[in-house]
Amino acid sequence: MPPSRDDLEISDDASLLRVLLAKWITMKGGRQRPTSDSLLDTNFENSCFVEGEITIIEIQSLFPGLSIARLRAGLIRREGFAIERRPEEAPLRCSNPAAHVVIGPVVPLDRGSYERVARTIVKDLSVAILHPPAAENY
Amino acid sequence: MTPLTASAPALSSADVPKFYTQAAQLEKMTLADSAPWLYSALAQLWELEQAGAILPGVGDFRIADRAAMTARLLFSLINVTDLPVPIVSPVSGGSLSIVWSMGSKEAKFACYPDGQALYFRCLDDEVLEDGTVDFIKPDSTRAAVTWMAQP
Repeated sequence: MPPSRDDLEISDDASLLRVLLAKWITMKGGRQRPTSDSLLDTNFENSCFVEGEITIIEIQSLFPGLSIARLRAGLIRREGFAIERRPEEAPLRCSNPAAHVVIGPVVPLDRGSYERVARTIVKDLSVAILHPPAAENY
Repeated sequence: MTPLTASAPALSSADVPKFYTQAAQLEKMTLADSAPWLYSALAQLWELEQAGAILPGVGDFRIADRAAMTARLLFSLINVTDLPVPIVSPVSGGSLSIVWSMGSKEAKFACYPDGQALYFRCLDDEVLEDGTVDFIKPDSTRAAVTWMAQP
């Protein structure tokens, strides 16, 4: 289900952390960035965590070996996505389920527009990729 | 009228010349030999189907049967041999994507759980054109990769 509301107590300055599958990282123009696939959940609900409400170390321990994209909440909203808390969908061992959110358009987009919006977000130069500790990078 | 008893088949399996089945196998081998990307693409798809699982906090990576079938149909219709190996990736919610890249050009196909497929022609990381893949017109399925492969 797409987000039904935008939880505005998550400020535009907050950062959202999106766990990336290995195939969701590409090199474009000499820069690593997430692929648009990382933000194209078929049901318009892309899982993220609010940075500061859960530590990066904990996310890395929940998802060993996977990289993480850091996305500004303001960027997400600028492109028309909403941010909704979904604590009930957090991983079981997550210490703060309230840190789990989904991002996506409130009204489902056509698939072509969805691709364009996702691509605009991941191409933004503010998007950073945090790689897992070297020993766990496989 | 429906027969009440089964009669002997016109041809038993032993009567079917082995040549025909061998020819079919040879035909497949020839296709794979002339389109080296196909092995990798099919192997990646198979791996995604086998590894598909729900990962709470990341997404649902169980590839929908119809999305996988659409991808295989797409592969079978793209008879462009001189292509790089595509990257076949899962998309949360049962979809998958297939991306060919050459220089600044990219041809992307997205296969969805409802059986629909979209193509995207991208240049310099911008989407130039998108549209629905029309499987009734095989030429249209390969148009994006043909465009990408042009110098």
